Amino acid sequence: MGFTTREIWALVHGVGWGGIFLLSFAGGLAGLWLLRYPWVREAGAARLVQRLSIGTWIMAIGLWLTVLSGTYIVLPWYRAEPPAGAVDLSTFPRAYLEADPSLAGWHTFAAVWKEHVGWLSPMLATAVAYVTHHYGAQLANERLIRRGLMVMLTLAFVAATISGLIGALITKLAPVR
Amino acid sequence: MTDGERAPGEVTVAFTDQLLPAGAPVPAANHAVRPNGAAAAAHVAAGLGCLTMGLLTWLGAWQSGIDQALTLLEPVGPLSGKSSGAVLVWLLTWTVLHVVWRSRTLNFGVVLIVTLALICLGFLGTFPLFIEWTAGALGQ
Repeated sequence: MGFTTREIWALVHGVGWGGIFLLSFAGGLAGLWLLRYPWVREAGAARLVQRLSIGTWIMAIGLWLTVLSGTYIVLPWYRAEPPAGAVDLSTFPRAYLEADPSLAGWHTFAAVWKEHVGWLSPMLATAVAYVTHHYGAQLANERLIRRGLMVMLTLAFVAATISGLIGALITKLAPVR
Repeated sequence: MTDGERAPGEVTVAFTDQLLPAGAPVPAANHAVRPNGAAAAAHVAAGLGCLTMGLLTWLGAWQSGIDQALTLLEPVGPLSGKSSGAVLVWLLTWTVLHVVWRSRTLNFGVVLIVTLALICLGFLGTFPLFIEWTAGALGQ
């Protein structure tokens, strides 16, 4: 039992960095939901927003690392063209999927969507992190800004979940090796 | 930290032992509150970044020539250009909007609606079935 370098990178991309955001999303959303007066007092708001700020920045950085490693490290291995006449396509995931009509949709629909929709997440999460950091405890009095942050964080989660789920399923069918 | 040590513009919230009605803002005497312009800029710019990603994805699928033009790195393919373009638009618009709006207070309800619309269009532009349907409708 062992992992190739490519498999390790795929794990770092999806389970490692991608996992940071997916696992911490609920905490971030709950924090934004709770950050309101009179549910919290001054000391509580200051402490909560400090943790939220750190947490949202970690989420945003995790997402940037996820999309950058996915696009510039893992994707070239997925897209690699097999040599002419190659019979064994197991190390060429995209070619492997496209060669089988019953699997081709996993590339033309799933992989294509995953590659693009994933890039929406880090921009949204970075905006959430910046606004949380910039406004601090004032957010407890800013219902609409807080609502906007929760919407953006949720949409970042939706995009990351679509991307992560499809990535996991494709990896099961045609892993990078 | 005392109020005197707070940075200019940083909010200070009054402390009270009394429960306030749900949703009631805490009275803020002597409090400098940051205008919502910076938050509006961050929201709208993120929406514009998403829209750009969706638009470039849609355009690339509609016209293969655009896809080729967006291929900045051959091993990565057109995603290199689409993602770079989206990030560039996001950062540029964020910078400009931040400078213009940071000291202003905007109608944040409108900001939220615009942001949500931009993000939804971005999602739609990346969705293969939507691309296929619209490209088909345009005769491609």
